[in-house]
Amino acid sequence: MKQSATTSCKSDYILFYHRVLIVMHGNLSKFPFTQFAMRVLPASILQKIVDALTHRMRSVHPRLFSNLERLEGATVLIEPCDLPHRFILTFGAGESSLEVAQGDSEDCDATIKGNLSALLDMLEGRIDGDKLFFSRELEISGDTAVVVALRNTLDREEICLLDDVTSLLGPFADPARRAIVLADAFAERIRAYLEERAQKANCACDSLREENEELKKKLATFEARGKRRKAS
Amino acid sequence: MTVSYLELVCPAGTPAALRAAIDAGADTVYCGYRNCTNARNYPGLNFDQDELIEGVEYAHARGRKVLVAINTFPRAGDEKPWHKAVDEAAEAKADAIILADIGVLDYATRHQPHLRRHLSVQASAANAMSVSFYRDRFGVKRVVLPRVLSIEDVAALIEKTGMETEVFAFGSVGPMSEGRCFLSSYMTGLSPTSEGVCAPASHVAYKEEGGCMKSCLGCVTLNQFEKDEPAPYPTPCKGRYITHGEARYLFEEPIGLNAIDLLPQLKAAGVTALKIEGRQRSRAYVAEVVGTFRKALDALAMGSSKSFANDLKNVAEGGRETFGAYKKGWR
Repeated sequence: MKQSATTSCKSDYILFYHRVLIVMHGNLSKFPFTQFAMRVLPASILQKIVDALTHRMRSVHPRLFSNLERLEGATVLIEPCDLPHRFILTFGAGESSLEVAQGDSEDCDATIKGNLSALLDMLEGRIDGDKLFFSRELEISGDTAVVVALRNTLDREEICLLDDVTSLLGPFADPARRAIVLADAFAERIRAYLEERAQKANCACDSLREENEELKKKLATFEARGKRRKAS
Repeated sequence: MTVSYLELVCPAGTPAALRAAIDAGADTVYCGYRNCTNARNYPGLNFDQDELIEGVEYAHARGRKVLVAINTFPRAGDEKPWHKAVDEAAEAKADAIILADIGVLDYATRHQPHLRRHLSVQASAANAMSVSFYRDRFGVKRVVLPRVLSIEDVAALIEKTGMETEVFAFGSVGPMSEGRCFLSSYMTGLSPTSEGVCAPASHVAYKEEGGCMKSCLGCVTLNQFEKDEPAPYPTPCKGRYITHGEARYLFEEPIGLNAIDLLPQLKAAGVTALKIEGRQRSRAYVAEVVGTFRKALDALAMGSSKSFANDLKNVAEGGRETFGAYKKGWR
């Protein structure tokens, strides 16, 4: 029994370690630094960053905002499924804004749901929205015309969020851009390392599960023998 | 500018897509105005006059061409938007206009005689008699052939008419009645041929029910997908309908047309240009498809026989591809 207790303790440790690795790996999937930063920031601070970014984008991409504002008025809930935050984009009828959602947002005209990396890829024109939709990586609900109008309007503009974010820092934009690229590259290395460790932990878990099953079988056999002996 | 193995005609739903297409190697880009005069009248898509002028300048500066699709059919008593589109395309110095309606063709012939005229696929000219009529009556220089012909049919038509032809190389596979399909209008009240929208987004809805997703057009449920099952466009021709107790694709399965491995045969048939479909798709799609076709055409020009068959599967509708009518494999 001593061996079984040791195995169980080791098994618990590896399973816990395995879960931690999977959670961290999930958090650091793509755009690792950006994603990690967005996960840990509270909504109030994130809103301030979003406001500053929106203000900056308004001056860098004036045509994007005028195109958004000439659409019919609508609100869209954007749900990155790997973030704790959701966003409400309001556009049309002469206005446009982006807010971090607080509580329920059932009044929105439409919802767009997908991984943050897919949503950012789409925003920056790196991936086709229809392709994401065909493969079910993107979910939309509500007023489809609102989503199509938004998708087409965003796609008219060549956006690079990294440039827009770092340009907020004025003369420090270039060093900041390099620092973020480096941070993302570093996080990518960590991600690759964690992925490798997660795979190893997975293998260790599998062998422990097999060992556990074997021990259960043996125990069941011993118990059956004991019962038979008692009966005889 | 070097002469392409086959002219590569690419879609642009937005100015950014036009630049993406040209940068990826398009010889020619086609686009339309932001109104009912073109067959891709979706919200947020298409060009205003200033954007078209800028787009034409961008293309011409790089030795490429821009075509303007004015390929819907005017409503009775409301032909002005179509006349205005023809005049503005001429003013923007477009290289050609793509027309379908004989009234608009007549207007363009009389009012903008020097503006080259192409016949849209929406005109459904699929035989030598029809093509010759447009050539002789309206001076049409090029015909975009409907996706109903085999390569042998295309070759025979070219031989009989001597016309420049443009054939679909990548895009959707419909029920093969282009320009004559009214399925969507029965469900929405809006005509694809005069309003320019098949399955308008305003009438499309997606509903999550019991772990499945339903796509609806108007009050008709078109399809239902299990989790992770690929989804097609929400058009009536790609609907899965229940007949004899079984849900099946009655008109067309969700599958994309890809003729990238038929390019030598199409060239041998006398085809002038290849059309990539997808003005409603993003600039990422445009760059990927155009870039792949550019590579294939350049490889053929260099004498290579490398296959590019699987390079575009991930952007094809339903993630599957077919040669469509070119091979008529179902026969």
